[in-house]
Amino acid sequence: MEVLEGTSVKTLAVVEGSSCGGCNPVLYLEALEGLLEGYRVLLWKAAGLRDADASEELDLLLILGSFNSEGRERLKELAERSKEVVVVGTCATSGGIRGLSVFLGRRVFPATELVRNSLFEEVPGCPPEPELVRYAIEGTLSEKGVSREPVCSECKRERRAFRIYSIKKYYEAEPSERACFLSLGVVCLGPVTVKGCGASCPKAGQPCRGCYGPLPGLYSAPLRMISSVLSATLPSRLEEVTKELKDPFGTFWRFSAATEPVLRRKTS
Amino acid sequence: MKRIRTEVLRIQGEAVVEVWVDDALRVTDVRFVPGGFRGFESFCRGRVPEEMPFVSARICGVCAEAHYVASAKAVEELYGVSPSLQVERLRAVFHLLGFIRDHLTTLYLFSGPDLFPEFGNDSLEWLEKSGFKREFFESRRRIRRMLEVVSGRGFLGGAFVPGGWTKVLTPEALRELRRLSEEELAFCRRTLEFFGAKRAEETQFRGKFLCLKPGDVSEFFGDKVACFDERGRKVAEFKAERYAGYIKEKDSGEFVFSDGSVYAVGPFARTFFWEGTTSLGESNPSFVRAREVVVAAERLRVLLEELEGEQRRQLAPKRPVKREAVGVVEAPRGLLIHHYFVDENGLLSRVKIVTPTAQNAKAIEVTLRNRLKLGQKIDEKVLKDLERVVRSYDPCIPCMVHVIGVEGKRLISVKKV
Repeated sequence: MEVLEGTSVKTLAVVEGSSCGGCNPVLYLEALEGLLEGYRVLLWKAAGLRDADASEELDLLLILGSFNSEGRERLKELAERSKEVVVVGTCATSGGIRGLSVFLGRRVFPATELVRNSLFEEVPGCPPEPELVRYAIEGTLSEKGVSREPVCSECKRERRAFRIYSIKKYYEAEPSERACFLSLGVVCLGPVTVKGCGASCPKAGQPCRGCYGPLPGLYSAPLRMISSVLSATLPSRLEEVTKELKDPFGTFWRFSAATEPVLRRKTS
Repeated sequence: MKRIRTEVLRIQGEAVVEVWVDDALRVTDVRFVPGGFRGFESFCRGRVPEEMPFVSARICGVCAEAHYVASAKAVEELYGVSPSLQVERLRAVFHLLGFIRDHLTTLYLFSGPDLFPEFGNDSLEWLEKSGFKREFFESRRRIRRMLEVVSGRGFLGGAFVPGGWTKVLTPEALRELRRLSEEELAFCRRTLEFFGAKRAEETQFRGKFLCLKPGDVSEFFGDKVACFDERGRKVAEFKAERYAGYIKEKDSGEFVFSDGSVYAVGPFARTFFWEGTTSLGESNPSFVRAREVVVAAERLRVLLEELEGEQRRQLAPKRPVKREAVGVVEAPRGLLIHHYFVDENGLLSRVKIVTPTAQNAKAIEVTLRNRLKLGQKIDEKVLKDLERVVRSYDPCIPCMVHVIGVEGKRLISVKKV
């Protein structure tokens, strides 16, 4: 890559664990225009760059995806020699959708658990909005409030006091309806999910499915959500509503099963 | 016997080509080995079917729109509802946008350095030196904006409900889409001019080819599958839902045609329908992809002209009315099949997803073998060439390795594709 004269050359590596590839910057290069030019890329397989013997120090490491036993050591080694680490996408920050394998007895490690000792910035999202990755590389992500507030803080749907009488499927809500999904009886994970997407799904008439991962600070975001839904349910309807909650694992733990403290088995 | 592994760069996901050599570095065998299993088919069991479009789009962030649409078709079949023509058109627009973005990524970022090495070896340098950077980035921004308007999000969006689409298009939104689609079509035509100038550079696979018979709404939608031989003669045509009688998955995870022959899916297979071609002739995969990009952009323009703001919606029942359903679509890399089974509680009991790259795996291996001669001496140049062969298929590894049996044994056998 050409580097502008007079600028100091920094080094960059992009390493991908197990992911769908949707958070790989090759898919949103345009959003990083003017930023990547300042780096000499040592490793980024999707862009055709591999300097396998590179042992030089890295200025920036982007980590995508979740990991199993394969590749963990390599990842730790790369993170240790990098000055800054940016963890991109929900698979990397909290295990992502593949975390549902936990119910089949398979462990999934989000990158954040493996590089715990390195200084890092997290960009959640499945996939993350490309601008957020840009902010993270520039070091301005925390100013934008991602990781501290829920999706509801960005959602424009009308909030109102409500009780739940029955659970509706997402397709039973009227598309013209502008009220909060929860008040309509549709499970929406907005209250326990990290913001950053601009509440894009509720805007498009779909409830939040939690793709930005669980809001930090809650012991178990899914359990908190289940508790909230049932608390809002009319006591006489409780039994019925509990039955209507089909597939609670796939609904509430869709993107957070890998880091669910209640489910975690102790591993080395 | 020694094994030489070379990583295939500039593809979606990670894979290696393994060449087995004797002590004098002469070839004895070659294999294509994908990496990174994720296990969608197993962890989707027990889920509610109507969530599958959203979940299965995460199989592959690159061809997410194709998975979304194939899954939507299967789910609607399960619930016994069908979309109105308007909704079908909207979904086709959504699918085509993903299709164009994907093919352009393959052409400019992955294949570009193979076809025009004078501009550099890696995607970033190539884009800069080829002079396409500005136009390519503009196209990306346009497609992202259009997807945002149609589906609510520039990446992995979607507004599916069984029998409908929740994103309503305002007249202004439609006007914007039409304007952007014109601009995109111009870029796609320029892409064809540029990539079309390069003629055959690969020895292509010769065998059977499978693809969807183009439907009315889009060339990439349809419900019948046709099988052609290498001369373009149609040897079979069947309803997509009956695919299991024609495509066999071997225990090793390889897909073969019912008569045991190797087949390929993807741009070449589609060529037979569009051009009435009887021979693959001198075409190279990049040329075919560039031509498809123009076909897709033209269809996009037509669909946007036909679209109206208003859409009707059919309300689906609370539970599936069928126990089994199949959804198919032509993904950028070829025929994609979603096959769902539900149990008496209305939850998914089995999920089968046949992806294009999984189907092409055997053809990739055959092409690799054809490329090498037994006893040939292996060196860096030969390995680079093998990498190029794999890349010409535009393999999508996240798609290919979504399969994982609960039993670990299968994991190993699938790996040895």
